[in-house]
Amino acid sequence: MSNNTFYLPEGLPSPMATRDGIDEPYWQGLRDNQLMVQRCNDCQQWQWGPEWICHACRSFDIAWSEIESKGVIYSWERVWHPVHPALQEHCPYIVVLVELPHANNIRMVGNLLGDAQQDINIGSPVIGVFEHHPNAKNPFTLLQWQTV
Amino acid sequence: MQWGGGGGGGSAAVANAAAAIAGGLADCVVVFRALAQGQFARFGQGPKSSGVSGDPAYTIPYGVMSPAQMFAMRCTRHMHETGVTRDTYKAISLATYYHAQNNPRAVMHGRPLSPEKYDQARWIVEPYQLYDCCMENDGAAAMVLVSAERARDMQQTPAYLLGAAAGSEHRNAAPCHNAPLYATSSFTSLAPRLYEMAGVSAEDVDVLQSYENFTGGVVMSIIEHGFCSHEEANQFISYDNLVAPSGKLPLNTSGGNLAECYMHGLELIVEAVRQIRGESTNQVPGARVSMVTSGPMVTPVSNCIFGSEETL
Repeated sequence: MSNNTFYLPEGLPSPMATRDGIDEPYWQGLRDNQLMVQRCNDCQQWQWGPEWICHACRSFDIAWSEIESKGVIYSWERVWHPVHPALQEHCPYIVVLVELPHANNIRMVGNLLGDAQQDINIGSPVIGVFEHHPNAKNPFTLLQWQTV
Repeated sequence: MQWGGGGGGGSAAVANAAAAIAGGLADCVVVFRALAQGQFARFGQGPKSSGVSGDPAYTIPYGVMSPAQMFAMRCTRHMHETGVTRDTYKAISLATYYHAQNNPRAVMHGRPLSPEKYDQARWIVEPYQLYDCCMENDGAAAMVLVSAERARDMQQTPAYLLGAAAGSEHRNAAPCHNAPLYATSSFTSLAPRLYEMAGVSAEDVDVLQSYENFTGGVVMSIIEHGFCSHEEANQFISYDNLVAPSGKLPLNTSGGNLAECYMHGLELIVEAVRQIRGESTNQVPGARVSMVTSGPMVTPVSNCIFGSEETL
């Protein structure tokens, strides 16, 4: 995506990997157009966000695994009142909570691309869209969602 | 003593105070809250930092940064699963504003809310309109706790703490909206614990102060504390049932966070004590069991029940 197609304008806080590095594979994956999440080598469960142990079986043996960036809308909100200077002229916008049934029903937060006043239905299938910010001070990529 | 947990820590602070007295660490404890959002930081505004990491990095860059934005999706999901409607949200808002009109201390005293005014208010974040949201204001509230024995010698009518609990559901603080029970106010495991400790049930409660960060959280909290089922919510949580003195479950009788004063819900606990003393500006006649729920949808949450002398 070029600069003028960011869903939300520049100027919001940029995401950074945590200092301990636990979520670095996730952020690096997004920059490479890959959705990486943790998967337990012992019980094979996926989890999001990143944790040091598997919350299903308490194993420490956790790997990162690429999954398909698709899911269904689990919940949503449409924001009308801006609470950040960068958003003053950019309301409304839509946030979706997306459930990924093929990865242990983990949920991810993103924006729903398209008309901000569109009808939104819980259960609708969506696919991920990688929104690259290569010119940011610390380049990053967001994972946005689009109805199928 | 630390507060902790934002609005969810209100009744927990009372629990800590009671534990300190019961354990002999203190004779007298003041539980207080003071907020000066005007001079310092407004809770309804987003962060000013240039970067975020950890859990905030998974939500803030997508424009999820204020409490209303953090909790709206829980309520949307709850409405989807249960069929609760925004008319039920409206009943809560109208009842609290009604109570504030009888309370000269209330910020919204003299500024009544009509159904039309509620309906016509702007959206903050769907499913919340303006009057579904708590206020941002400065203020302070405090209460004094002593042992029951000592309280009997004081001038004021004692309100006895029958129970106070704090905690949350399994993995309720899971990162990035991954709590297993998402469409709850976080009270499903805590409510039974409070009733067991206090030795009362929902049917015994005469008056309820239920923390309103947003009206949708109050709906869930009322259900999770056993006052009605999900199926009964639209009918039970009505304006007529929520107003004192005649309603089946008078709610937030001072005006609460929506219309009296946003003091992280400590003003609700003070009002619960007033009801036991017979000193509320919206008094429930003969109130003997007075309950508070603190901070729906956050984690941890807490709750408490006060009783009159005859409930001991």
